[in-house]
Amino acid sequence: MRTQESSSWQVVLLLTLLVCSVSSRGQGLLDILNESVEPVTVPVSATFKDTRIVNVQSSETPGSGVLHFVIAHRFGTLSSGAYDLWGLDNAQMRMGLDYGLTDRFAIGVARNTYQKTYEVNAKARVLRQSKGPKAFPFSLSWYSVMMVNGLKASQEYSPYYFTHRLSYVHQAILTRKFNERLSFALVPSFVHRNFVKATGDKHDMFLIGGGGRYKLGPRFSINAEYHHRLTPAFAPGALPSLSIGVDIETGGHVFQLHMTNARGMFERSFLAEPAGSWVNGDIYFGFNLSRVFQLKTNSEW
Amino acid sequence: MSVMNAQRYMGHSGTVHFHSQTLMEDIEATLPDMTGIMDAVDGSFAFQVKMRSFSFEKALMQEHFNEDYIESDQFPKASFQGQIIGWSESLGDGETHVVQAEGVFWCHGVEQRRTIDGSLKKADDGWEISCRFPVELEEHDIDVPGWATYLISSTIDVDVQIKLTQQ
Repeated sequence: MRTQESSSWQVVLLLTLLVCSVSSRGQGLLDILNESVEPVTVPVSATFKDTRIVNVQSSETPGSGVLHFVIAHRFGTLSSGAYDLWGLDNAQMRMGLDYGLTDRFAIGVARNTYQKTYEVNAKARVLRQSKGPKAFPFSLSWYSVMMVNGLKASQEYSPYYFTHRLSYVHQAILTRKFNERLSFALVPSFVHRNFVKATGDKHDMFLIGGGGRYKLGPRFSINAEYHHRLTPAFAPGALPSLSIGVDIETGGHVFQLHMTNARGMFERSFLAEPAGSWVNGDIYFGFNLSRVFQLKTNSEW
Repeated sequence: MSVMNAQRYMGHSGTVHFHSQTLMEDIEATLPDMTGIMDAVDGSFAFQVKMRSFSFEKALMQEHFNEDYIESDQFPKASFQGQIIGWSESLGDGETHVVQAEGVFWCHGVEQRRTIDGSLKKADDGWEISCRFPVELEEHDIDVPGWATYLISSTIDVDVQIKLTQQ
């Protein structure tokens, strides 16, 4: 009995040794390599395809040395019917140029047909979502834009100085890429207009906006955004803006096609001005078409 | 184990360069931090890269490489693990030898058995290894849409250089 017991222990010991030696020999060179490398923190990239979700800014900026050219249109309301080809006869346009001074800071100019408005803007990536040992859960970008109304001064409002033409919007853009497909944005906005028509009209407005995208393919996503006013609207009863669209990417172009109840393409307009009613069909078909040009190549090249 | 370790050579700053050429577009990328290990007892080795380490001339190329083609979040690494064919101690005589290696190339989640050409040289402080091989995108399920076939070659030339020092 005793010899049997001890021999069975020997078998167990032998088996254990065998398993250990197999596993240490079976540890491939790749495993040894992996153990020798310290994990690094990497920023999460491409939270959104373009610098805008539909109307509102996303967390993205053009890369360093990249010129980002956007042509955007918003046609007339769908409810205008067959005579105006459901709005297609009636386009508003915005042309914009943005340039990435660094990978985290961009400046831009734009011109809108609506109120012949010029824009000067700047956008900075303050914090970046990242993965790895020092992971960070979200990105924060900042966007500031000054808008200049270019219409001829009306005699009705005299004196009308240059400063009366100006309005400003500042936004913090908080985003998180939950996975490869799903990204969300939370965008608090502050709108200020220098000129009001009557004393007592509000100069300032605060809003909170939400947006997101869901990728259905590597180059195709569905996007949506909504802006909720936290302070009274400039005009009583004005509706907030709600937009739904798609991103289609082909090489250096991104096509964004959308339906929105806001016709203006600059921030003060789509945030603060009354939007159309989705229920009544006062919505606009539109697109943003962007093209990038790498003017200055990566410094490592 | 200590005897085996004594014959183990490693490096953490190998370079990989790849090149795609079509009539319309030249695309190049480099990576400075390939890791490699070789066992000088039997000539077995493994090389590994992190796909997000590749840098491109244009920012958008890099984004598309990671997001649309290589899908770096899903498949963060590529590796080659194999054996130098006809390994012998005479390869360590200080001259440059042209050799072949056989093994498994793993990229975009797809394994391919490959035999590749390369050269190696024993220097005072380690081994200098270089190799060059083509990668067929189709073999690794890397999808190029129709309109992009004018811009991205179906075969990518990969160039690898690394110095491995004794551990």
